[in-house]
Amino acid sequence: MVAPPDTSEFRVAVEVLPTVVLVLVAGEVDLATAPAVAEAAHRGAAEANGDSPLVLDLSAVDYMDSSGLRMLNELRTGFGDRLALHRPSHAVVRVLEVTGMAAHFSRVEAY
Amino acid sequence: MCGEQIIAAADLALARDAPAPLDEVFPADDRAPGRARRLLAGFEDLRLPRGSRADLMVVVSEAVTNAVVHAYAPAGDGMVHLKAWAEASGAAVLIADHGRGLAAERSEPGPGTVQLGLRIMRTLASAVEVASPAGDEGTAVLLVVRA
Repeated sequence: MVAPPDTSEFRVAVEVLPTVVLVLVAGEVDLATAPAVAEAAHRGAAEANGDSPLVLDLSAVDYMDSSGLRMLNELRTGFGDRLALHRPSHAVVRVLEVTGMAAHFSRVEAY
Repeated sequence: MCGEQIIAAADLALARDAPAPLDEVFPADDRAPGRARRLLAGFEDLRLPRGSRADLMVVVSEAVTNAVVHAYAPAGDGMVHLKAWAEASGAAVLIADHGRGLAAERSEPGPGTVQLGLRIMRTLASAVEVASPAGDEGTAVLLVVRA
């Protein structure tokens, strides 16, 4: 059996738009990859003007666990009401709901 | 062999020593949770519907993450032992490390980040058994997920 590479599908990208900082995440968010999401969010926020909202597009996240939850909690602590989630995938919603954290994060349908 | 009997026996040392169709040892680094998931994904004995399979991936990752972050930190040069076998209408996975036991973790000041992972395991798995003797004898976690 040939083992496929670890975290092969993980990708993160930042777009600093005029009114919003967008962080697009795809693939698996776990112990190995969650730090890269936080780093991208902080990098985008640093490039943006003032108090731009920070939107995490989690629609293409096909796996997430408590490492991702801790990262989201840390971003919420740092960015407060500026942080919003866009279309969290089933995998994201599942862990948010079983830990009772779903209500802690605001969501945006459009950005 | 069924999960209830294994849990009732609570003899994780026995489970650790018994042969299993999936039996792997790998480094406890930040890629270990993903590695565990990929090993399980390639394990054809597991006949679980999609939702249960997704939950199994999460609970196993939580156990492996705890081993990496809590059992071995900060040195982080230990190994993780993963075993899996089919159960009646489900799957059983044993994750063992030889790092600091959970007793040491619980005695530390501050919020225990191990708790979040344990909460997820207890919610998503059909059964969770944790054996963590005092001292540095390691932790063994047996997880059963049923269809």
